Amino acid sequence: MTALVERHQAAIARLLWRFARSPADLDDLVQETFLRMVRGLPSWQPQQPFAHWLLRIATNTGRDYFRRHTVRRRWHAEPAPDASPPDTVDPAADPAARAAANEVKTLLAALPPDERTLLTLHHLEGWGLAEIARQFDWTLTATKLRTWRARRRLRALLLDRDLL
Amino acid sequence: MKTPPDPESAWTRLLAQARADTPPPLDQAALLRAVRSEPLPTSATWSDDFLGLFAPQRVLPACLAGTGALALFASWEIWSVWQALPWAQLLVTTGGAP
Repeated sequence: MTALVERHQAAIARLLWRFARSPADLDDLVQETFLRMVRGLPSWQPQQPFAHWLLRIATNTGRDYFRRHTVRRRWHAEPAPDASPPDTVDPAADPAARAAANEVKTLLAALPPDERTLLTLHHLEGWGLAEIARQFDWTLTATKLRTWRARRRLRALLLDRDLL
Repeated sequence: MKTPPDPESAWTRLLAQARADTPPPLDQAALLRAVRSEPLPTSATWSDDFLGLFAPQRVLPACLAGTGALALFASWEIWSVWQALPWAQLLVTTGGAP
């Protein structure tokens, strides 16, 4: 088990960092992904590449994280934790890249969770729509429709902030 | 007509910069501790399969199937008894004599 974690943790952390807002959240998400992996091991089919299967668990964990945030914001009227300033404790290797990533994440946080997941994977990870559709068992048409809706919402946000 | 996206827009530049961001180091010790303390799931045995038949989501279909089977069996029994009745009456009236 240790070997599995050591082999895949960098890729999983890289992916989930696109979702997480702070290093503490990233630790939680990576941990949750690997715990889900352990619990789901009996359902893994050997003909399926392990890395793909694990990536699928990670993307679902990321999407659940977005959903939890949305629900918490809606029901507890929290003052939008996603819009909080970036964590200043973590010294980033490239502060400009970190600032840009935080700005993008803050913008995407205004979208509904599924659209936020979609654009996070598409814009920040560079995934194609077909790949995203496969990952979540969505049809390609539904994914394109979601993307169109998400882009329309994002465009309005970008125009507000003079980023377009 | 749709205008093509401006490749040099502030958003495009922001995205390109954001993609270069790398994750902070993980708390690997805590991660390994959590994974090691998670019990490994055991593979399903016949008793798990049997108990699975009584899972809440299967109760309603199982009840419907059971009721259907019982109704079918009862109908068949009634039909066979109905078929045997004239013979029984004949046996009673004639005392079994031809």
